[in-house]
Amino acid sequence: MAKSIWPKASSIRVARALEAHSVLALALGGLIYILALTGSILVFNHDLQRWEQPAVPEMETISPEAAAKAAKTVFESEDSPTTHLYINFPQPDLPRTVITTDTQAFFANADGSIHSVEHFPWTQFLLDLHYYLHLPQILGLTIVGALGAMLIALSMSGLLAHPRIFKDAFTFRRGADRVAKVDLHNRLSVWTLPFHFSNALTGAILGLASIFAFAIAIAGFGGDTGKVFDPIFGSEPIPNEASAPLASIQKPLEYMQTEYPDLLPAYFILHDPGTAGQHSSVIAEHADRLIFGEYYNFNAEGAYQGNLGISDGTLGQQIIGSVYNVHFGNWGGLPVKLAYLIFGLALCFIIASGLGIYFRKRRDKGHPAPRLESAWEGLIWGTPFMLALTLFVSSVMQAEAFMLAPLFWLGSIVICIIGAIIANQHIMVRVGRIGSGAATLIAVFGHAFLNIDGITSSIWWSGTISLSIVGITLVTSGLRSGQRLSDNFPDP
Amino acid sequence: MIAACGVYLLWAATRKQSGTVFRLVAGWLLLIGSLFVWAPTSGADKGVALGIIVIVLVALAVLVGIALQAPQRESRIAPQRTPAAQTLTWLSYSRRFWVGFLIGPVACASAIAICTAVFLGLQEIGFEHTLNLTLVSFALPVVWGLLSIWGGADPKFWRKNLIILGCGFIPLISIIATR
Repeated sequence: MAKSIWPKASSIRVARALEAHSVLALALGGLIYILALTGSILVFNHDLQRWEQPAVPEMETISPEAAAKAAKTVFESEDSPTTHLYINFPQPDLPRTVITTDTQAFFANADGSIHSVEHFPWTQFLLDLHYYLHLPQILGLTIVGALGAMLIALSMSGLLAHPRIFKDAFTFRRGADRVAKVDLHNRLSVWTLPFHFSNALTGAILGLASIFAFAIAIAGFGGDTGKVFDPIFGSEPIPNEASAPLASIQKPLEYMQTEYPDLLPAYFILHDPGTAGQHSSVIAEHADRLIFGEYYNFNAEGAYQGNLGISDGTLGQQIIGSVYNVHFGNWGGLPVKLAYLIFGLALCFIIASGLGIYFRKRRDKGHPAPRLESAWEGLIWGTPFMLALTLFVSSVMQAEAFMLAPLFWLGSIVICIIGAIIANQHIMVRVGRIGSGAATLIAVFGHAFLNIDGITSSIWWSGTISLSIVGITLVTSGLRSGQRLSDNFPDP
Repeated sequence: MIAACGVYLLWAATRKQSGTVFRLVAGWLLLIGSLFVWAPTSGADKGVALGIIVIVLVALAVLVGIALQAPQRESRIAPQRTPAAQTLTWLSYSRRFWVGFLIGPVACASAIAICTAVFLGLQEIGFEHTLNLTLVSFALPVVWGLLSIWGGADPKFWRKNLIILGCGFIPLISIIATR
């Protein structure tokens, strides 16, 4: 008999790695699932923002003169001085000009006049959920970063627990048995590993940056976190709060147009506007790079002061400058967004099926946990249901972002408790899918009706049609799930 | 195409009895080669990232094909087993709680201590600041993850405590001693 080239794994190592995998998944699977699902949806966050406000002027570009006029108008409307004045330039997936201060944000017309207030409460709610879990910013960001680190641990322990990872890389045993679910869980985990490992890593880096920088600053820089980050992102000059005429906005934008015509300006930032210490930066995207952009800096007179070095500085600056885009998938247009959506949904399935396998194993071993299993399915299908419900409450009942957070969390907890009480995961799956789909459809049609003035925009149609397809798919799968699920999980 | 050929060779390596090593090596070389082919189309970093996405999509497409062609298996009803007696005392609950705390905040603190010590050590020998910070920023979640795996996997309660706490205290003491 020919000797196998595949390495043999120690059964003790496999059992221990599986134990670690189970411990981590049981402890944190729910929160990681919520982050994976919201992250998958947020790949399209610009499209969702547009869909929430379809009747807004859209443009491919805006002239420096018009952008400067709009920014000046908003600055002059401020009751109290803003510390920063931003211009968000039109992007391929968000072709709108937005002027933002510390307290307000307005859409601008192509001629530089102000159109309306920016308002996308559901997307903002979703962003806050994914970034901070609706907790205070630093705490929330750190917990989300910690969940990223735990997802890395889950990936690594899953690989260690998989003794025939390469030999079984293409094995799939189809059927209603547990093995089909195990095979799908393992195959998706292995082949989407580059995505979910890099996403977990970049998410953890972004989330843990604050506390890690704090630790390094205490140990090596006398507690000054600025000294940790300044070599990468640059330092702010010493502020001079004496009053001064507003700095030139038009000149830096014209300079970028003339000197860097191949770059795509994404943001203009005026620091400390209306003070003697004001200065500005243009963040411009480089088409063939993973970096989020490069800072091109200007003084108050609009004279160019040089770039920061994200695009051509040290290797560390360039790598750190790529972390954000790698995490959010906004670096390659629609094809990359769709790929991220597929991989993100695969990750949701991996997490959901992982604990499904755990509960099935418990049943096979003679100690089932029907209440916990049903509560888990409540979380899996209650999360999309609550997201759809918040979409309905936001788009049809005009609720603001701060009202959506308690509704989402309270609703999710109630659904899990109901799941634990009825102790029937089949019902939770069925009702969850049908409910999510129905709520999505009601929200989408309600939104489309209330925003009928945006019917001429492409996003009104593409958003309504694609979300309707999601809703119909969920309802259909819910209606079909009864028989299939009872096949998959035959009662002992 | 190159990525598809690479995935095909890896698939073939898992199916055939002979020539497995050749197919494995050739498959991986083709996958790596496909990344280099992407680089000139969209830049070194973005091109490679696109190449990785294409490999994953090709592999997923192959998996879908395999799943659709696989014969339908009969559902197997698991044999009834007598539940093993489980006695959970307050001690076992408190141990579980402590393990959760150990692989969470304690392992995090230890990972931060290790990475901070590495950062300061590399800084001491003149390593460039931004690359140094980048390296330890990438290392932190991985180190935390490894410590968490140890905490979840080690059957000896005292040993997992010793290792995770030790991994934090040793670099912490070295930082205090050298500052």
